[in-house]
Amino acid sequence: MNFYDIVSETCQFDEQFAKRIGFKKIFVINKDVRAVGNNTKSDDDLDRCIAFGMDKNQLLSLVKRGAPAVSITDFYIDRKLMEAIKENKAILLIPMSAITSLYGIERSRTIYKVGKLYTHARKMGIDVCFASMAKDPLHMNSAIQLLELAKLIGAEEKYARHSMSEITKAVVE
Amino acid sequence: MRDKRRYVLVETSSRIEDDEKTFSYNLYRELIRCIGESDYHKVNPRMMKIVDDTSFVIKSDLKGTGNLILALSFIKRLNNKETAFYTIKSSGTIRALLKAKSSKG
Repeated sequence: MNFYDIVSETCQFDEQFAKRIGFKKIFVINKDVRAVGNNTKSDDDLDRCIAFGMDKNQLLSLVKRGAPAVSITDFYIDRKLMEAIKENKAILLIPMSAITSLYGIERSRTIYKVGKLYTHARKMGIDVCFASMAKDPLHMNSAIQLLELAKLIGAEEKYARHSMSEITKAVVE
Repeated sequence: MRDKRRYVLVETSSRIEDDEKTFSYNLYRELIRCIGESDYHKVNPRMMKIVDDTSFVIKSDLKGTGNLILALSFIKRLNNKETAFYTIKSSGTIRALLKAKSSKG
């Protein structure tokens, strides 16, 4: 099975390193896939992009306009937004570096919040993409580590593998 | 009865400059912080071999391998130096890991 990851544009790595840590390809934000957020204009093309943010109304509007993937950066569940994600068949992207970059009690709280968001999304039938979204190589994870992190937040191994291969690829293509 | 174990090949983002004993001690200290004292015995990590200046093989009990891999992804600093740990492969034998290491380069 070929695994894929998505990282931030500031993350510097080479292809050999990506292969060594178990990924066929690591996609880079604003190179392979666009990131849109608060500064999006109403007539912007939302094809092949990921909507980022904490503002639920902004994310809701981006999903309704056709953003294929959404990342809720504070991990709070908003029912209206989740319904819109489901109706528009968008993908919920979970940035795993949010867990690995924190320490102690903050990390524990984030694991809890991400777990709740993941369970809620899967119960609604929303596809979830696990990606590191690392800002630098220090916060990147190997494919095996990403798989274990997905299991930590409640994903079954079979689904986690499917997500890291098919769903991540679908976000970009 | 023989315990079932798993060997994990790990790559570090920075060079391993300490000797094996000091490096292992620092790593165990970070692992116990991430895994917790009550679960540490289930993982039972043991440094087996420092392969080169950026990779090593660590052993764990079969049931604790998942926890070991998670803990390694949580550690970002070792002995006051920024270091990330990337789990390359896990196997039942060290030989298989070293073979994988030499083929991946």
